[in-house]
Amino acid sequence: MIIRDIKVLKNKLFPIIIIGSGPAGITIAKKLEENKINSLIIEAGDEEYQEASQEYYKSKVFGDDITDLRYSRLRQLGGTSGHWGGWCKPIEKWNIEKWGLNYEEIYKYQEETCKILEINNDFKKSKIDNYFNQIQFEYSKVRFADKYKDHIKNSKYINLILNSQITHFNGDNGKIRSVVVMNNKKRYELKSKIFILCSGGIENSRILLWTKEKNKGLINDDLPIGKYWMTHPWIVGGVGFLYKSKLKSLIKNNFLIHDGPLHISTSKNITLEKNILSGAMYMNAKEDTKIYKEIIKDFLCVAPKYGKKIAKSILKKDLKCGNIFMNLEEPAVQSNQILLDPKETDENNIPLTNLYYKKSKKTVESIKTILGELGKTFIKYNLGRIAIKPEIEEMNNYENLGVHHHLGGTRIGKNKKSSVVDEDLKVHDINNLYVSGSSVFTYAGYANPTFSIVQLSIRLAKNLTSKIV
Amino acid sequence: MNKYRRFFIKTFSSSILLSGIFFSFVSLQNQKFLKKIKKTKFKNYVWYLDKND
Repeated sequence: MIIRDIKVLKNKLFPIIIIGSGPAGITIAKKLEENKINSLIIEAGDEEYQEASQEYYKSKVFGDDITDLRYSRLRQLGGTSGHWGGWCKPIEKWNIEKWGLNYEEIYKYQEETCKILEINNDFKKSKIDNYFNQIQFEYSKVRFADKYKDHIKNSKYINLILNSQITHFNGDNGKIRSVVVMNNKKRYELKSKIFILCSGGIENSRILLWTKEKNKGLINDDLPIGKYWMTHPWIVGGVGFLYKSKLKSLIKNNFLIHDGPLHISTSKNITLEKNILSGAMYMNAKEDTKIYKEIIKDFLCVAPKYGKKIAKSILKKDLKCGNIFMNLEEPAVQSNQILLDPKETDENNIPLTNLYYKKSKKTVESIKTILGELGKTFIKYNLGRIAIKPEIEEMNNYENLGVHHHLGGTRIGKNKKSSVVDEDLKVHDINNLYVSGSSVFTYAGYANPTFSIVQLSIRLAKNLTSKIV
Repeated sequence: MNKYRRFFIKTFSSSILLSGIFFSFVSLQNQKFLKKIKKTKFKNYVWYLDKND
């Protein structure tokens, strides 16, 4: 049910309080409901998008430019799923294992995650050569608010309070006793046995940092809260064309035919052999677009003999041509971090967040290596040809098209000096506080995060259920 | 020399020799392939081309 008056919660004790109603928060509440476990979701925003509410997400960025943090996330029911692109792919097995997690434990929730996101469990991978795979994304149209609003309204077990901002947790002796909530400029303190923070890749760190300030000694000082923040650089690395028929004959019956762009990812081998980060690429221009014509025209000038052969493939609609878009992994760097602003606060007197972010040289090196090797693969198997932007070829810089994924800040790990939560997503040394969402990602991988967020959230809900029931 | 010892020495030395030839051939092929690649800067891009393009 949706609770309109926070005062009714004053003397209530829910077994679980979830902070945030995005994909992580709603997934957890839904799973608990299946086992008849009551939960309360506290959402800072309203049912719909409100400009005034969004202003609370105002943040300063120091270092390199990234997309305004006010608009790359949403403060409303359903969280950022209200405007996400819907690209889904599980994180590669070898990447999850780098987090110290058992892949099977995450993989077993893949089918259930696909049902929630209303997509096919069809993430095939086909080897092109030792360095590259053709891969498949699925595209979800699920907006969590649209999908679950009515369900929550009618639910006996899921309770939702909107327009209520968490400022911090209170507690002692390794235990959280209550959460402080601001509702309509008034302060309330709500109690629970278990608290789960699901407020996204910036707010999760912000709330923990402010809790640390307000309750000295409650949270271990060693924990790197807010540190190792990452994103997925999204860039155009160059242009190119590829004969679909030649790729098909190279990988024979394993060629993946599906809707959408043609995706190629780096293999584990290339990342290990060349000591680079992983990445995925796609091309998707239509034959009648300006960019398509420009690329073919350019290519005719640099390689006239070869260029003439292309004309036939255009007529046969055999060419995949266009900008080479890349989603890239970023290194986990301690100095890329979220800190509380020492002076400026929001209207509820919580310090605003400052993000310190610098692009890394390793990312530029990786882009160059990936594209250079892809260029060689294209020539070797005569799949087509590619061209690289000069600034990348010279390893000077890359231009981000947009920074929308906020990862890290409360990463998973065993070592308390380099991680904030353990493998069960419990904050180190606090026995009843858990975190779910992209902030727990230890490494970024190249895959879009929502699919993994839902997988991790189902796993957390199941683990908590077995503790409660 | 014991006949078994002689047999093993013969077998291993020939397989080491063969694998040496194989790997140098592979690396030679790779070097030849890399020599075929040329990079051509044109307008806003650096094209990765085969020398015969």
